[in-house]
Amino acid sequence: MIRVVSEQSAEVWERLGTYRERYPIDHLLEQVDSLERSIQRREGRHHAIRRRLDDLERQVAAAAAELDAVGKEIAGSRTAGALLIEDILDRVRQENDERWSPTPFRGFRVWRIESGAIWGNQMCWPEPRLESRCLRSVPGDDIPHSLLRCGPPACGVYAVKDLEFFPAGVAGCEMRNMAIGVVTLAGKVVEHELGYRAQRASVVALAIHSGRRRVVTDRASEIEALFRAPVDAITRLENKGVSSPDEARAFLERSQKEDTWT
Amino acid sequence: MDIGKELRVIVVEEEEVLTEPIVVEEERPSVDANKE
Repeated sequence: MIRVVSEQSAEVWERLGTYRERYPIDHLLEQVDSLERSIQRREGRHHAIRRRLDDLERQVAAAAAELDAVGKEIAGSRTAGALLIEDILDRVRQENDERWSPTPFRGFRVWRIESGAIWGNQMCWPEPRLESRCLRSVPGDDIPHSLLRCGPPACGVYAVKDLEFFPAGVAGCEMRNMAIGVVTLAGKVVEHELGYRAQRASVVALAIHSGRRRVVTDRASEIEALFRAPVDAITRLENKGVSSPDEARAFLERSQKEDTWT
Repeated sequence: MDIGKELRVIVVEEEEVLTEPIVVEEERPSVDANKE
């Protein structure tokens, strides 16, 4: 008898057997016999379904074990691959003389003051920092590009190592409507013989010359103001920190040497 | 701007600067320890 039958019902069916032996009552049980045959057919189907279910459970358990084993194989292969890749990348870094620094590099760069804003070679600097982009890049690119993958000129925020790079009159900020400053360079920095191309640059010292006014500063708030509204800020800070061209040049050189990672 | 031949790549990873002091709490004796 299947489980769905309650104890009370089972007892009644057993009692029928007793009464069949005790009295000749078969003629009264035509409906009961028909019902019992129907029950027996269903018990056969129930048994078959149970066997199918047991088989499926075994298959699910086997698949789960196989899934677990393959997952472990994948994880192991990934770990082995990571070790191999680390080894290859170490070799590539050594062969290409790639280096690492915990502190930003410092370089010099110049801007022009035009239409009330500060401009680099190709674009406006509305604030004293810039993240480089490349017109030829796609998202996820390693910017700035190296090994002549773009340009000329190659992408990146440019800065030079030495004030001697600039023509006479530039290093001391003697020319009008110009600014010269020290930028910190971070992220990926491509070093060249005379300068750098960087992923990110921030201005940390500035000498600016607009009209007859000049300002020399390394205060972050003043640099911020000079980039956001150069004309207003130069008027407000007029002649602040002003020094001779030689002193301006020395000020920038001192700033460039600060916090250099050796 | 011609800055010469490309020499190498330098990866500059700026260190994070802690802006708040680290507070070390004093270890307090337990109630049971006080009883003893």
